[in-house]
Amino acid sequence: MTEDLDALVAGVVQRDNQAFSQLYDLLADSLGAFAFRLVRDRQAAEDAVQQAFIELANAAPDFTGDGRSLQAWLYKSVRFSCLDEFRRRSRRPEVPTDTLPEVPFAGTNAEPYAAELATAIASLPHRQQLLLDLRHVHELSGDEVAEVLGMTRPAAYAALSRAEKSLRKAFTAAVESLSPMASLSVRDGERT
Amino acid sequence: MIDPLELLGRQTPVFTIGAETRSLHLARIHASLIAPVAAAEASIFASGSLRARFRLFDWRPRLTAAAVAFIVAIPSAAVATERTQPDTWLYPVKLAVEPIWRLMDDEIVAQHRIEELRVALGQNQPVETLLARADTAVAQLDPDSIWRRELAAIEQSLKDQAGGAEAEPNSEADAPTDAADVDDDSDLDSSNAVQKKPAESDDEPAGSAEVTDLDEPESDSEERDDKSHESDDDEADDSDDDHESDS
Repeated sequence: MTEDLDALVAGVVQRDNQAFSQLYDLLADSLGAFAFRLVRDRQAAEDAVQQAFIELANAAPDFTGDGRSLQAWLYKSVRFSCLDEFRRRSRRPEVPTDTLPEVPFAGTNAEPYAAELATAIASLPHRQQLLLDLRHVHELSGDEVAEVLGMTRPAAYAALSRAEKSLRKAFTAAVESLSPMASLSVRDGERT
Repeated sequence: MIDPLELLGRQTPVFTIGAETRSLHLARIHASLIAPVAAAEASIFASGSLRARFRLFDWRPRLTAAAVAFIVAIPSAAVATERTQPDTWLYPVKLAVEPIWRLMDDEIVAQHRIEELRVALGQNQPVETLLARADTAVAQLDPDSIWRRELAAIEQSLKDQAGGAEAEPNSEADAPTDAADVDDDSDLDSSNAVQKKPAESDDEPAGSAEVTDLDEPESDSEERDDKSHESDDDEADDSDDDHESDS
């Protein structure tokens, strides 16, 4: 994926239609998932993705960087769009927060321990969910996570470390509660 | 052997943008590549975009700014133009603002006209037009309005002046010109005297204080000295008398 992004950077800088289409196909779903995690609204998430690409189209000639930084730039733009959406909602609340849908975290029920993982992630604070999502699902580096979330590098790494520890603890608890027999293997796995 | 982070890494985002939305998005992105500003503006009016709908509300801060400017500008203009006269360039602003003032005070227009009339009278300017305007403004007020009485008083004083002006030429004709000059001089002298008096009185306090402080004790001491001398003389006289009686 990184190579694909690198190959697209030149076309993006030259504002090439084809390059933008390929970039959209490559990243739109991931960006949409990230936006959905932030705003918990499908329409708003799609709007955020569209807005990020339009902003990139306007800023493309000035862009300097590789494919990874282009990806981080888009995530950051999506985040800002979502923050705008939050501000708009705070001014005119339309949907009560307690009726918001649960975030469909990545994965399928066919995956082993998918339910336990979903339970564990749901028990974490939203900020930690976001950090884990960006780092492990969207596969951004620690530096990119820091850039997207507007944090310093040490703060981002420290927050990631805490989030990973919290996830492990929550996952063990979820396995114990949902499938007690499997908890032994999980504990063994942690020890090894 | 199960690490939740590994499990997490094997997940893929479940969010999928539909084909219809994709084509719509790409159309707008391509449009923004052709004309960035135009596309951004076009997206404002796209019905499906929440972000775009959000931008539609950009008129709110503009409207607020305009309202604040209006609220600030009107009283400022009213205050700034309150004492303007008809021959000044701000006078049309004053007239434009007056209907708004009138919402708060019915008599403001008559008040303005009468004040303008007074200023014009003070500056010996022709007042016919101003008088007519004041009459029109006052005519809209209650019969017992204070401004009616004010205007009546001004008109009366104007009539008196006109009557005096008719009478004055006869007296001036009778009086010799030298006498008139003398009168003028005397007026000037008297006015100078009037003007001088405060100046003297201004100087007085310090000087007078010094004088009284210094003189009074001296006079007292002189009186005392005189009295003492008198008493001494009396005593001397008494002693002389005694001597005489002794002798």
